[in-house]
This record gives sequence, structure tokens and C-alpha cells, in this order.
Amino acid sequence: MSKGISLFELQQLFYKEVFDADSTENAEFYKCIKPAKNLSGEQSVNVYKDSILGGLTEALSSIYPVCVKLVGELFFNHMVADYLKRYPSGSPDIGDYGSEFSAYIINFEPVKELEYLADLVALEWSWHRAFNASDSPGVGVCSLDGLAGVAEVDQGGIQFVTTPSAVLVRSIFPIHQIWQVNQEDYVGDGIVNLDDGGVCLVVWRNAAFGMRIDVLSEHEFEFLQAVVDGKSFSEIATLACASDLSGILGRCMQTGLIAGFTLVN
Amino acid sequence: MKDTKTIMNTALAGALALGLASVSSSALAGKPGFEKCQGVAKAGMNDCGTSKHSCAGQSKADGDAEEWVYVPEGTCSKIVGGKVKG
Repeated sequence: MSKGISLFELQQLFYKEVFDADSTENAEFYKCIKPAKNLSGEQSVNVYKDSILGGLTEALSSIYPVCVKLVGELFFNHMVADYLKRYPSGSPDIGDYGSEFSAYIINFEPVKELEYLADLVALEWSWHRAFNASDSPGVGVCSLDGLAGVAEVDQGGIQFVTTPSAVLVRSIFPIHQIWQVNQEDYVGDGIVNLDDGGVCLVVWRNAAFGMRIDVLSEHEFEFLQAVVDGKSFSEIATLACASDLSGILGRCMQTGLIAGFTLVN
Repeated sequence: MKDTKTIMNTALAGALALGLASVSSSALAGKPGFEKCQGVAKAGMNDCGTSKHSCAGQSKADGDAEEWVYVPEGTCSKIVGGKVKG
């Protein structure tokens, strides 16, 4: 390694070399690279470059299989190549990479016609997060058995807690149908009509069933959104969903979507 | 309109009456609108690309990005209809 260049600078140059194909400021970088016996400095760096870009592309393909199917592998890979440049990985866990793909797609000109694609991609990200979520709610969360013991005066301070895997998604497009007809085991013509309208969904993992995508009513969605937002029971009781609160709460507790509660003053 | 205290009390009593112990497959399977999704088990996300030959050369597409004519060529051709205002 030549003198006068810090590790930080070297890392920056390496990053540029990998992610910026048009980079011309690489002379300084290659001064630091010692050629191997049979490989030039550039060839050696290319081994890493291909591996990094290939690894990230594979990671995104595995998080977004329906998107791959919808646009085709070739197109997807080109889309990803552009994404990789714009959105550097900010986490040591590759499972965290790709969260902004939905936001990226909204502004990606070549798929502007596919207006539902960003929402569909958000659904696939939710699936990925739910799949990797923790099993049990955090410490300090009371089990639902304790609800019966909450005094009436304290009920307003109940804050329900969803199972950690639950992710809420809503779209003005029938993204659950698009998702379903593009599954490996789907049998049918695969046609989805966008005029079927939007949908409220919860993506989550259940001990008995594994991964699930469930269709929610407006009231169920409103209730669960309020829970996720940390609203107290007394606040929830003033929302539109209060008209069917007993039924919604009962179902959510039975299925395991609501996993526990905490008490606030 | 019922006051929030009554709403909370009734909702809790009703929900608890259903019983928590019955968190069961029948409770889920019996609910219309719920879809059972046979998931694709995804594992090995943390596998490093260096151990896979399939990764090598994937980045080649990168260099062609400028000349690439972007046309999605997948099942998106089967999605029909217009935008629905939510």
C-alpha cells in the first residue's frame, strides 16, 4: 500500500470502483493494489466486484421473487444494478438490504406504467420482514391471560401489542391477488384485473400456519394500525372500529395477531 | 352512542369470553377472507456470494445499463385494467 492514503480513503475508492462503473478517478486506487501472480490489479478487484454485486442482486431476487416474475429476470437485474448504485447498504446484515426498493421503483421511469409494482414490492418486503421477525414479544409485555385481571378503571390504559412479525400493508390495487397468481404453486390463467380495487392486508407468521397474508376489513385494519401506532385502548374506543371492537379484538386475540399488552397510566 | 368505558368493558368481556386457549387451526381456517399461504421458505440469505459460481459475472449487466432498452418482460402483461382511485 502506498503511503499517504488512509484506510478510510482506500475504502471510499474501493466502494467507488465497485459501484460506480463510470468512475475515472481510479488511478490512485490501483496504485494501492498489488497484482497477484496471475491476475492484474484490475482482475483481482473484479473478483470482489462481481461477488459483491452478484451477492446483493441475489439477495434482492430472493426478497422480491414476485417482482422478478412480473418484470422478467433480465429487466429485474438491470433495475437492481441501478438501485445498488443509488442505495448503499447501511447494515452489516444483508437481510436489512433492499428496504428502499419500493420507494426506488416509484421513481423508476421504465416501470411507470406498472403503477401497482411499488405496492407489490412493499408487500414482498413485508413478507421478508415478517419471515425474519422474532417469535415472542419483547420483555415487559404481559400475556393476554392477564387482561381479565385489569381493573375497570385501568382498562383505558391498556396498550395492546401485536405479534412481532405483523406488518400492515394497504394498496389501492389488488396486490394480494397479483402476489398469489405469481406463486410457484398457483394454478390458473394468472390474470388479475386492477379494477377489482384495493385491499388492506396483514402479513405475519403464525405458529400453526407459518407465513400468512390475511385480508383485513377497514375496521380491522384501523384497529391494528392504531395498536401498531401505540394508541391506548381508550383512544381506540373512539375510532370507527369501536362499533365492532369486541369481534375484532376477539379474533385478533384468538389468531395470535394480538400477542400481549402493556398498561400505561 | 355508548361511552368509551362501556365499549372497552364490553369488548374485553366479549373477547375474553371467546377464550384464549382456543388459539387453534380451526379458529383461523374457519374465518372467511383469510388466505392460507404456502410460503416459500427462504433461507441462506446470508450466504456469501464468493462461494457461488453463479454470482460471478452477474455484474456484467451493469456496464450495459446505458444501452439497455427497458421493457419488462414477465407476467406483468397479465395484469389488466386501469388505476382504481382508493
